[in-house]
Amino acid sequence: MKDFEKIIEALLFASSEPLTQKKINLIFDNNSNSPDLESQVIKLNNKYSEQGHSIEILNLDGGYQIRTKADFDYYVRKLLNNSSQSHLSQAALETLSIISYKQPISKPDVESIRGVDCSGVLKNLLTKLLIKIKGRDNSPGRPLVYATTNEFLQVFGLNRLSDLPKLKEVSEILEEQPALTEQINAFK
Amino acid sequence: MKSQIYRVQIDQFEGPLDLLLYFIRRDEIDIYDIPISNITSEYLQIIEDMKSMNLSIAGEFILMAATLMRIKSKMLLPRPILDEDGELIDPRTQLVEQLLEYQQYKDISIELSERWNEQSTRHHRGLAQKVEDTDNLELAFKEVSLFDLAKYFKEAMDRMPVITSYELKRDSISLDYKKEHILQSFDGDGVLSFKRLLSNCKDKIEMIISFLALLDLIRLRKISVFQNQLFDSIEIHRLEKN
Repeated sequence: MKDFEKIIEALLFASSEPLTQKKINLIFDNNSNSPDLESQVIKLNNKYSEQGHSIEILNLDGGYQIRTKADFDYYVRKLLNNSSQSHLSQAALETLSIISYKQPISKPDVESIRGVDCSGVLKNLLTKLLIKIKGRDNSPGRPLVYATTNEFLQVFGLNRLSDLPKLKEVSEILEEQPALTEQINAFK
Repeated sequence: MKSQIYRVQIDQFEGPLDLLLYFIRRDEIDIYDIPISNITSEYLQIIEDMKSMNLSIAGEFILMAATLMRIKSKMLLPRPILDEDGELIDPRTQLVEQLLEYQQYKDISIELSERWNEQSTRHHRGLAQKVEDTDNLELAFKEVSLFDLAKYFKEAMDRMPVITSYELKRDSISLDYKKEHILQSFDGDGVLSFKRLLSNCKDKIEMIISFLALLDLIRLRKISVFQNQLFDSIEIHRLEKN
């Protein structure tokens, strides 16, 4: 088959979720000659950028998905009747950050890092499908533990969890906070 | 007083740690050498301000106030606290570590926020029509966890029609007893006024039973009911004497 590129393009176009190599293999009945998704995506993306298309294939959640470019946000948003950009609260973002690095993590552990009650935020993130209940912890009370979802990866444009920005080293944080010892002494 | 110059809006902070980090940034304090005395008094001042504005103070702010005061009092102790290796323990260490860890995730949350804003401008295809009939189930099914199942089960249970239970009280007076009672209530002439019968009843239930008993006695032709004219009092007459 020579039309692999076109077949992959059609599959990407029709798929509402990121397309994976596993699915490609299933579609080709696990034939040894099923096309390599990644190389076809590279060819397609090259074609799109050369011809100045308004779409692009992104590597998300362990698969590939066609997305419109940011330049066309205004029009697509109108089409989808989605006039305003939805926002995540600071509390939601902080909680998501903690869960994404420390998962699976229980509510008490999230709360001890944030120093505040997180019940409402966790509930909110669960209904937004950004986190899920992964099971129970073995610590006293066997609390539920939370983890991020595939939707989380898709929404934040991540291929896998390890693509998250590295946790800043403690020293790096300190560099941003110049120690003005004299001033401190003045306070004392 | 510093706290008089800087009016801090408490609700713009995510919690006590966020508030302390704000102090540290604002005053360019070395996080490893926090002037506990100043921070504590400013922190307590803010809590006082909140009280005077009748704002409800979240428990975590009170907890932090207690923590700060404990650290402060420990630092005032003349005898330094040593760990097993004879090293000096700074009472602030735990708080500093907590602040640093929280700061890390705050930084990450900014990155996530930027990603969120960027990604939400890039749209993808919406949910496709579900394929009803498929030979290849592996393609059609998403991964479902035990907790998903539990969630759907709970949703299904929540949709069930609600059956509220209510208590049924056994009748305190039986119909037969009331019938007997009516038959014995007649005066010498074999006449009983309907009004008197009802006025002897304790509650609504007894009235209803009396009425039912009356109807039953009429059916059995043991009594008869008369009324001389419209809206006149009703008289019950005994028909036979046993």
